[in-house]
Amino acid sequence: MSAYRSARRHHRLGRLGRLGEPDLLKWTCDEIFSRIARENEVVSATKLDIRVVEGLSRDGIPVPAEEFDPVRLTDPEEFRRLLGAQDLARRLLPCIDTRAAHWRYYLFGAPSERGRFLASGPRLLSVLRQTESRSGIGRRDFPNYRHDGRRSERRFVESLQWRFDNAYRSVIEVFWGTGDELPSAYPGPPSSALCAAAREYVMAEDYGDFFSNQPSRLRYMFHARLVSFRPGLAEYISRKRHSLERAARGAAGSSALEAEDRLLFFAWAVLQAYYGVADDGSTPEANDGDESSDDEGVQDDDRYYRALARASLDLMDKLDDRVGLNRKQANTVRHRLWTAHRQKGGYQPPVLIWKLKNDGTRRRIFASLRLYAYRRLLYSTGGAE
Amino acid sequence: MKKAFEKTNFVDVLGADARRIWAASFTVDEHEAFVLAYRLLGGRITDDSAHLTFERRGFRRAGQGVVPRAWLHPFDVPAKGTVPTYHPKLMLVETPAGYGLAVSTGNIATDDLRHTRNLAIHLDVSAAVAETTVAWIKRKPVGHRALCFLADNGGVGVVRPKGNASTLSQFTAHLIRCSECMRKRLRRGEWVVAAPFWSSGALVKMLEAEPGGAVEAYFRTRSVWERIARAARWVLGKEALGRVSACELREGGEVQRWHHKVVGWRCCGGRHARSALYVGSANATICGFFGAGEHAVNWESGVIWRGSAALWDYARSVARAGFSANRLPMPEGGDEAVVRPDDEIGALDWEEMERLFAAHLGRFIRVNRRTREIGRYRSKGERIRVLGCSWRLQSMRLRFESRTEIRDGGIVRPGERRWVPEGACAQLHGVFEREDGSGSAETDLPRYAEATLDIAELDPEPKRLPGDRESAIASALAGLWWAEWGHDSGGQQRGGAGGMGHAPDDVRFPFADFYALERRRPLAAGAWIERIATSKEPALERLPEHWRAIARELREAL
Repeated sequence: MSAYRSARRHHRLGRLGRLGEPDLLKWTCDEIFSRIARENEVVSATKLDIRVVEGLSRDGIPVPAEEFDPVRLTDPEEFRRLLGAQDLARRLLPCIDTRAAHWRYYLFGAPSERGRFLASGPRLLSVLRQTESRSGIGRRDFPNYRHDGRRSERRFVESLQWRFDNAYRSVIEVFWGTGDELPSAYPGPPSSALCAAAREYVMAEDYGDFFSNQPSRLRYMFHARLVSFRPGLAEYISRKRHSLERAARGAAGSSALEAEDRLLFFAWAVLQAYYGVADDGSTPEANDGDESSDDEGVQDDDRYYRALARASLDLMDKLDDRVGLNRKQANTVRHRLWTAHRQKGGYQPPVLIWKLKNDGTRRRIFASLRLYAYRRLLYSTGGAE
Repeated sequence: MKKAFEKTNFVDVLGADARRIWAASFTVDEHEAFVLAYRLLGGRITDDSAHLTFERRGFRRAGQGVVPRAWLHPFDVPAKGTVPTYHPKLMLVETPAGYGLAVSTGNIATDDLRHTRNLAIHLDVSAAVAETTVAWIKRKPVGHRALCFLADNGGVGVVRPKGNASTLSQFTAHLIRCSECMRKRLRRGEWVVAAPFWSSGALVKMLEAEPGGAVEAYFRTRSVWERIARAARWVLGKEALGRVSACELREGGEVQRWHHKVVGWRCCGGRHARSALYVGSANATICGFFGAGEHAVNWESGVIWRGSAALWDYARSVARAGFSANRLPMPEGGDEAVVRPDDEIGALDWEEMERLFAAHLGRFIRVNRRTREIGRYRSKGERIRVLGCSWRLQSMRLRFESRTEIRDGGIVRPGERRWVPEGACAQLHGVFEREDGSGSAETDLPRYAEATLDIAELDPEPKRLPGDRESAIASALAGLWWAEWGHDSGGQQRGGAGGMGHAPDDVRFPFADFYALERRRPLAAGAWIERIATSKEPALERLPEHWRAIARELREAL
């Protein structure tokens, strides 16, 4: 009865309030009584089993043989996987890594005739000291290290060594042929002259010119070795004045390139043109040890993307069924690129993804194709002097 | 409070022994729908085993088709005034043990189920509620667009509003304030809302409903919040907007893709506060949750719970869906009133943009099943308002999909009708162009937007797929239940393709299925094993001999 009295009192005073019920005073006592009674039951959500829902496995389901999933053409990573771009780049350019940008770091891995290696850690520190940390591994940490007398040199060297190993170790092993398993594209062991010159340079510890590209015998030999991994591609890039955009445009009609080179150019061009995100040569997990190419930049304007869209279309026509897409996907991509290429006004990529992450950093998804890094090494060892 | 949400799928939720399925979804990807139905039905694909209602423009064909066309029930929303959307995400299954209902925030689409975080709720519903739900899915009532379930005191009921009440109206009709708030007649309630799409009018409505309260709002991107906030500030003023704390959801420092829609409310911050929670399909928009006036615009579905102060904490946790929240700053710069209060803003990527525009592309066409013609309306002002901007349909092309390619069928001009040949899978492709000076979002949005529309109703009937080894086992299992408890509504499909008409070609005893059933429904599992072990029905003679021996052993062990 107390609830009933309470209800009557509330009713009299007009104190009951609910959202969305402006005419409270029109309620009868019974209505109020029932509401108060309902209120007094502590309403508990008896079964609140809310879960994250996911898609079902398609294994064992007899779906038709032809499956066209357009979502795979809108997701950049899925599309890259469809093209097999990463595997292709890894196979064609095994001695290249996007993080390994300075050719002289390769010299630290030169083996002796007896197969012995030079210690690189202290020499990495020497590079920073002698070049005033202009560039290279550890350049951002070096000023702090130098001005803070309490920091341990041993630990700093260890961190340099760790970064060096991360960025260069695998490609150095391929370059010098010292790895356990060598790729199919391995051109044979390096010349003893190159090995000797490289070791001589490293042991001399005169690193003042470490990041300069002055012509020298060592640079020439290194360039020759680099070219030998993919001679046709290297020569082609050099002939196009080290401009990948120009190279991509002419790739479909060039007799110097093999089909796999064209595939690489196609993957590189189509990913950029399709999503409107330019490959600036840097790596997604860029840290201090990686070589930034901020100063190089790319002309990611309308002209650049249109040229890549045009190059992609030409390469698709040339490569036909070898692009890693089924016929239907290829037609869809072709149609979308053609529309984007022909559209008036600013270039509108067929698929819109945000170029910047929410924190303002640039989205990078194509750096792993190694093409940009290869071009950079070719340019610094054989380009303008 | 960050809670690790358990991950599940519709089969874990609803079981793999469904007899019939009724589903409603804004978009349907045919492959996802087929996989889902195949698993839920245990491989028994028949023409009347599923009913899929969806907005016609939201259908995406898989290859040359895979689900029986009889399943597909595209819905053309009436395009009068504000164009509504058929937007519910519901799945009801009839099983031997009763009815199971899954209310989800994601569509039956690859993007929602595989690339985006969505939530689902499983409810065991009575036959009456199931009947109402089936009728709602089939009839798509214009006078009751927002379907809300009230999960209360151990049962689930359907809220039956007077007229076409919005989800907000139905939600608020079930809100009760604590005695303190009622005594002092306080309106200091707090809201927590997470939704991918927003209207500035929604924020205004929440703040006006609780003049002394606050709103905790979750946005997918900062740009959506900034546009919403600028428009709301123009209406409410800077002080009122100070009561809104906006957040984005992250995991590992990265902004995540999510698609859930959650609205939580509590009357005050007191210990005895009352609260409520809504999880469903309705976005935080005027057309979605909040409605135009008191009326629902879109067809939506969701579940409402009421509870004590603890439910509020849970609601906040559900709104975050296992992610961590990152506070967004108040936007700087001038107020912009160009975004209308009912503009829906929040497309995150191209996939969503394409779906949005596909829905609008459908407004310009008419499909005649009998003559197999697609016609384009002859209208002068082919303009639509999407994402706060005005867009013009620049071109429309007809295409024909085949197994290997998409062939161009030419431009479809206004007033023109195009015939679709028998056996062809028709597709319309439209390009929309954003008009200059049509909104504040010009810097964010692309100049052009494309949309593709699969005209599924003119498709040829797909070939029925043969069952595989797994499906044979599942069919045998499900078929036994069918014979034991089932009441075949049509009466003609029993023992059809994939059912008991075929002996299983995999002779292994389905231990995994049996134990899964035993965990979910021990009585049903017991009855099934009893039947295998003892029954002399001819149908059981088709099962491998050793099944009986195993069943006898298991019966003893149970």
